Formats: sequence, C-alpha cells, structure tokens
Amino acid sequence: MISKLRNRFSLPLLARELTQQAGRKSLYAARTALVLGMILWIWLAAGSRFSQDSTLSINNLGIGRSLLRELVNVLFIGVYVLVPLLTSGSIAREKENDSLQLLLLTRLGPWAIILEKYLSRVLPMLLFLFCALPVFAYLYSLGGITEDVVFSSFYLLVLAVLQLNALCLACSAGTGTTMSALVTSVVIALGVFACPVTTFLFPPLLNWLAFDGRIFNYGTVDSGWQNVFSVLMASIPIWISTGVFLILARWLLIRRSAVKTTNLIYVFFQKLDKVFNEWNKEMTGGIILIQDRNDLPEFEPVAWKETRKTAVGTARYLIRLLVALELPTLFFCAFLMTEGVQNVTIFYSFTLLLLGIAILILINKSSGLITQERMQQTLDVVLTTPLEGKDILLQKSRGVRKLWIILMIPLATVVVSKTLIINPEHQFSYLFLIGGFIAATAYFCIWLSIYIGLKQKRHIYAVMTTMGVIGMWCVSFKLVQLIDPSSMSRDSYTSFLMILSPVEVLRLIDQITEYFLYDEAFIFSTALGYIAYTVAMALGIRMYCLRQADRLLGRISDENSKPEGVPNPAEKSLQEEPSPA
Amino acid sequence: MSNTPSGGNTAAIDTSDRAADDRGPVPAIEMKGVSHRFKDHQALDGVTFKIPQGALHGFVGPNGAGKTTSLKLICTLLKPQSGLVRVMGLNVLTHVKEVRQQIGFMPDHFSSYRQMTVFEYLDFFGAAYGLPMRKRNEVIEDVLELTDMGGRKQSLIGGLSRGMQQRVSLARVLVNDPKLLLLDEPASGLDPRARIELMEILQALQDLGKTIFISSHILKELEELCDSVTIIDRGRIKYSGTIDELRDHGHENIAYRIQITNGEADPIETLLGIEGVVSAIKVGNSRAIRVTLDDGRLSANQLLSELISRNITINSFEKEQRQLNQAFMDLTEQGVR
Repeated sequence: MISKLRNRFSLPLLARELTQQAGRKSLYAARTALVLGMILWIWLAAGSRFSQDSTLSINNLGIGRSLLRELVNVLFIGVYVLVPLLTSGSIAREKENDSLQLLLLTRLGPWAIILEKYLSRVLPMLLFLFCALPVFAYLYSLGGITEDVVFSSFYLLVLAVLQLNALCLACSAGTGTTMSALVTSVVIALGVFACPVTTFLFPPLLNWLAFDGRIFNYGTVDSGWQNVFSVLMASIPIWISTGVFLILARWLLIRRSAVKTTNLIYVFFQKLDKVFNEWNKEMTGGIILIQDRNDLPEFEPVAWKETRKTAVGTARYLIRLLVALELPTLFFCAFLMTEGVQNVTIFYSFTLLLLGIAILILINKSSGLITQERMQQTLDVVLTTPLEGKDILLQKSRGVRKLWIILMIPLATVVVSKTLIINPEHQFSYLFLIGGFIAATAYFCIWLSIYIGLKQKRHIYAVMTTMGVIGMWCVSFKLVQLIDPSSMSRDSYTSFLMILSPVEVLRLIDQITEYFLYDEAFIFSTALGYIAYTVAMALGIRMYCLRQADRLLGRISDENSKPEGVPNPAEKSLQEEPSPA
Repeated sequence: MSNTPSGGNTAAIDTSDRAADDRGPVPAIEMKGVSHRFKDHQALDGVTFKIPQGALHGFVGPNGAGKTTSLKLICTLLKPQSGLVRVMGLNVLTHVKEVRQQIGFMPDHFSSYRQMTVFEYLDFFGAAYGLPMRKRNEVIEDVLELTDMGGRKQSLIGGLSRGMQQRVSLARVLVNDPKLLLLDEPASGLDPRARIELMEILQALQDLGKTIFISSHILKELEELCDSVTIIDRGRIKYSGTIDELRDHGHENIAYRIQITNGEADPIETLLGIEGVVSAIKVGNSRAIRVTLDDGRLSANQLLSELISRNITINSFEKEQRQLNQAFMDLTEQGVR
C-alpha cells in the first residue's frame, strides 16, 4: 500500500533533474559566488555608508532602507539574468538529445513533466533567494524599514522567479534548441514587460511602488500591513500570467514535441528577404543591383562557407540587416538633431543601446564559430584535412569581420549625428575617442568570444560565459568603488581604475563637452588608456588562439612536423628493435 | 599482421619517423604499445597491431572498448600519450600534414553542411585538401560516379535520404584520393539495400588498392566483407589477424557436424563408442550430430575410416567453423565498462 502510494506520488523527473544539477560543479561555483558576492557587497556597501564617527551608532540608524532597496534591485537583476539561462534548456535540451519523445512514452503525463521540470528550476532559485534572508534581517536591524516592506520585497522576488520560470518553460517547450528558447524568452519578456499595457505584470515595478507605499495609495506612504494587502491584490495578475504561461507550456509540450531545429536568424532573414523582394518588385520592377555570387571556394574553403553559406555572412542578408538597423537609426538621429543640443544626453543612451545590441550579435556569432560545428558534429572531418588550425580560425573569423563592419555603421551614424550638434571645439576629440572606444571594445569582444567558443562544447554555454565575463568587466569599476570609496576622486589612480570598465569610459567620453565634471586631459588619458589596454588584450587573446589553434580545436598540432629528410635520433634505436610481428 | 594480444605500456611517446620494419612492405596502420587515458578512464592500454596495405580490415569491440579513441589517434585528432602510431609508415606526431593527406575519415555520425549542395560540399573538401580548381571538377565527377550520386550533385544535402547522405560522406572521403579509409560505423542506420550497396562500393574501393579500416558492430557483415579483423576490449587488443585464423583461434578440440545411419542403433552412442571422440551432441531438431574430437588421438580421416569399417552409413560430414560473433563473445568480457 505504502509502496503503491510512494510510486503514485513519486517525482522521478524532478529527482533526476535535481540530481543532475547537483552533479554540476559549475552550478555550485556560480551559486556560491553569487551568495558570497551578495554578502560581500552588502558588507562593503554598508561599511561605506556608516558614519565616519562610528561611536555614534545613532547616526547610522535608517540606512537599512536604501541598502535594502539596492539589494532587492540587485536580486531582481540576478533573477532576470539567471532564470532564462537556467530554464531555457529544460525542455529544449530534451529535444536536442531526442529524449523528449521517450519521456512522453513513460507513465508521466504532460502536466507531470511540466510541473516537475518547473519545480526543478524554481527550487534552486528559491534556495538562492532564501540565502538572502539573513541579509534582509541584518538590514532590518539597521532601521528605516518595516516588516511589511521586507515581506513584500521577498514576496515579489519569489513571484518574479515563479513567473519568469513559467515563461521560460513555455518558450523551452515551444522551440527546438536551448539557444532559440533563450532568445525567445528574452524577446517575449521584453515585449511583455516593456509594453505599457502589460507592464503591471513586471514584479520589480510593483516592488518599486510598494517600497514607497504607492500601490492603490498614490502619493501617500502607508506603513502598515494594509500595504502588504495592496501588494497581494496587485500581484493577482502576475499569478494569473504565471498560470497562463504554465498552461501554454503544457499545450506546446505536445504540439511542438517533434519540432525541428530552426535557425531563428535565418528565418528572420528569410522573412526580411521576402518583404524586401516585394518592395523591390513594386518600386523598381525587380531590378537587382547586387547579385549574390554563387561561386565555389578557390583556396579558402572555410572563409567561403562563412561568407556564402551562413545566415549572417551572405552579402544579401548583411545588406538587409544593415538597412533594417540603419533606417530607423537614421530617422531617429535626424529627429534628435532637429531638436538641437538639448538631446545630447539621449544620444548617450542610444549609443549604449546600439552598442549593447551589436556586442550581443557579435558574441553570438563569434562564440558559435566553433561550438556550432562541434554541436553539428562537422568539426572532426574538417580537422582531419591538411588545413592548418590557424587558417581555420582566421578563415572562420572572416564572416564575423563582415558582420562587425555592418554593425558599426548604425553606431557610426549615431556618433556622427551627435558630433554634429556638440560644440565644434570638441568634435574631433569626441569622434576620435568614441570611434576608438567602439572599435576596440567590439574587437575585444569578438576575440574573447572566439576564445571562449574554442573552450566550450555548447554554444549556449559559450554565450553565457562570454556574457558573464563582459558583465563583470562592465561593473568592475563599481566593485572597486565599493571596496575603495576613495577611487571617486579625479586623480591618475581613478583614471587607472576607470579604464577597467567600458561603461565608465563610455560615460566619461560622453561628458567631454562638460568641463565642469572632468578636464579634457583626464578624459583623453583615461579613454586612450582604455583603448590601448583593450586592443592589447584582444591581440593577446588572438595571438594565443592562433598559436594554440590546433590544441584548442582538438587535434594534434603540426608544430611537431618536420621537413622531409631531417633525421630523428629515435629512429635508429627503433629500427634496431625487432618487429613485434 | 600481428595476432598477439597487446603488450605492456611503452613509457614514452615514440617519435620515430619511418616504419620500424623496413624489410617488408610498409603497413598501412601500425600501433605499437599505445596507451591513452581520459582522466580516470584508461581508454587504451598498450594497444599493438598492424594492418597491411590493401586490406579490408574490421575493427570490432563492445561499447567503450576504445575503438573511437584508436580511430581518433590514427586520424590525428588525438595525441598518443605513449607508444607509436604510424600511418603508411609515417609517425602521426611528426608527419601530421602528410598523414592527413593520406587518410579519409568518415565518423560514425553523418557530419555534413546541410545547407550546401552535394557538389558544393565535395568542392569544399577538395579545396580543403588543396586540390586545384580544375582538377577538383574531374575528381568530384569521378567520386560521384563511383558512389552512384552523379544525378544528385545539385541536390541540397539536407534533403537527401540517410543512405544517400552516407554515399555523399563516402564520396567526400574519396575526394583527396586517400590510401587509407577510416570508416566508423559506415552502415549504421542504413536500410538493407543501402547497406548491401555500400558494401559493394567498399569492395570496389579495395579492388582499387585502397586500405579500408572499418569500425563496426555488425559482425555478420564484417565477416562477409573483411579479410582480417582486430578485436578490442577494455582498451586491450584481444585478437588481430585473418578471419579464418580467428575461427580456429582458441578451439581446444576440433568440431564436426555429421549425419549417420546405423540400423536401429542410437547414432550418438555409436559415435561415443569410438575412442578419441570427446562429445557427440544432437544439433537442435535436425539429424545432425556435433562431434568433438581429441585432436591428438583422433583425426577426421581416422573417424571416417572407423565409421566405414563399422559399416555405418555416412550421410553428411563437415568441419564446423566458429562464426565471428561466437569468437567475439568468447574473446570479449561480459558487461560494459
């Protein structure tokens, strides 16, 4: 009887998933690093805000509120970064391994599969959130916050985990690969949370309102449990959306169980191609100015494949991409320029956004150069040809170079547009520094991604690792500031520290027209220092990759090869040895 | 060809350039004392064998026996941690490029660029092997004809059937006119017709003087196709030699199948009554009897003479040969690693 009940209510899939996760050392390392990072951050942040005269503890009372707000924001960022990365593969990977069909043949029903998969991703994230509770308690002791704020913050964090996991699970059930599940999750999440009609489904927004007691009580601060009740009421749509995503996941699980892997970029380009062809027919009657060459490889087959046979390599598709990015950019820049110098600050945000998109596309392409071949199992046969490892890498990077040039054009449009409206005195300096900054940053990201792609087996891991490294690189100056608050000054030490972070350097270059913030020499030295060390790092990685290409690709290096006729000292001894036959 | 089991580990990597035994023809593949370890898993342990040029050689072993590791070592994808690997007399460590020119490797998975046409795919590899463009066209036409894919050269690879994709893969292997073909499970996933056709192509290639080294699980086909075979288990070579020798390898007593009539007497008792007959067992539901003889005391001729002298009618008599799968089961250990 008991064994029957145990069998009936056992959760084999959840057990398997949790066991598999428990076996991954990298996940342990990531979670430990996150928890330690959180504790370190709060210790440093609290330390830096304590009154200079620490004997008067009364001076420190109330700082808990601002610290809690920051901590919760950081935790929300952690949730929105980690959950898509961890959950996107939950069902899509089963499809990649052809094991989903087998799973569907077991006694587990579709709902059981969905819920067990869901729990397997939710539980570790909740565990991570529970690790933050002692920190919440510590901040509570610093004063400035009430129990209802602590409760509603934690409640909304948990809700964010539940909702986002459900959304990612639905995307994972609907797509064929982990990578496409990740991209779909990000796109849908951005669409839902950024849309003014559905933005109330975004838990962090609710938290910001709840923190100031502004839910259902606009403008008044309500510190009682009435606030908690307001949060619970306001969160009902989030619960409903979570349920809808789970039902969607259940529906897609069966309908899309045998979905074939599709290249989303390729599909996007095909659709774009269709639109352009229709426009071309209507407007010009079908005149084609640039025809895709349908030639065969002459001497560099890998470069030929990268530039003729991949979605983001073909000239036709690259031009489509350029037009799709450049047209709105041009229109937006022209609009901002008509308004004059008052829009200078908007250009900064726009540059940051476009640079972010460009870097993401470059990371995806560069890290996939080798990992895609590994995953499609096409690398081994290329490696058994006499092509040198260095040549394979250089030819592979040819496709990225084209894409890099195309992505830099809209950025150049934004930069030039801004240059035209700033003070002519700073135009050359700005153009020179921002141009160098963008080119150096993109070049570094490309070679970092190629290197990480060479080390990783799966594309998704390579993209995640590269994004993690670049993310740490971006916030490095902030971390240094936490450890050493004196780095806020404007001396050479600060300049040295600022070059660690591209975001800080970009902000600095943008402020070149504002003398009251930083003098031009400081900006120049910092920006040039950044460009020099970034290019040096990129060249260093490139050199290492090319020198170690054979080893990193996974074959015997031909460095040991000797020209014909060179005698080998070991040869004689072996010839004297009797044959084993 | 060596038919001895593997020896012990060689302490260091051997980097000598030419084949050890220059007196005879250079073997197509020579592995001597090769060991390879992945973390705590000993994939190969002192592997030693030689394959002569022009052979169609089968390489068999259970899952995890070390077949793929051996293949990867031969085709320069892995560096041997100890021992010597030579291809056409060239050390894979010191003549990497030359070895790559001599081999054509077909992995167990079908690895192709699905977005290319058959012709583009073959041309891609022709360029990778450094063939001049004019010569490439001729070579591609030849290999397509050999693999009977001439009519599909403009078809997208992604749209071909599994059997056709395997033919394209074989055509790709032949583009650089290699002396040695390394095929890992070439017939897996193919229907019976495609399998038979593939075997015919392989035999034709052997007739052209190619050495073919096939790693496979399908023992029956290897038995029909190959001249010789190497059996590997748990990283050690259990047997390397001709299939005929393998059939007798390890037999303590020679077995025969015989059908006799001796009036009303029980034929089994009659046979057991002859001195030197170790056992006589009825084979299934047939009238045949499996007789094992003590090789030192009684030969087949003596047995037949004895039966004739006793006026026993002999209906049929044949020497029983071990099948490859029986030899394989005898030589390899039970269970997976």
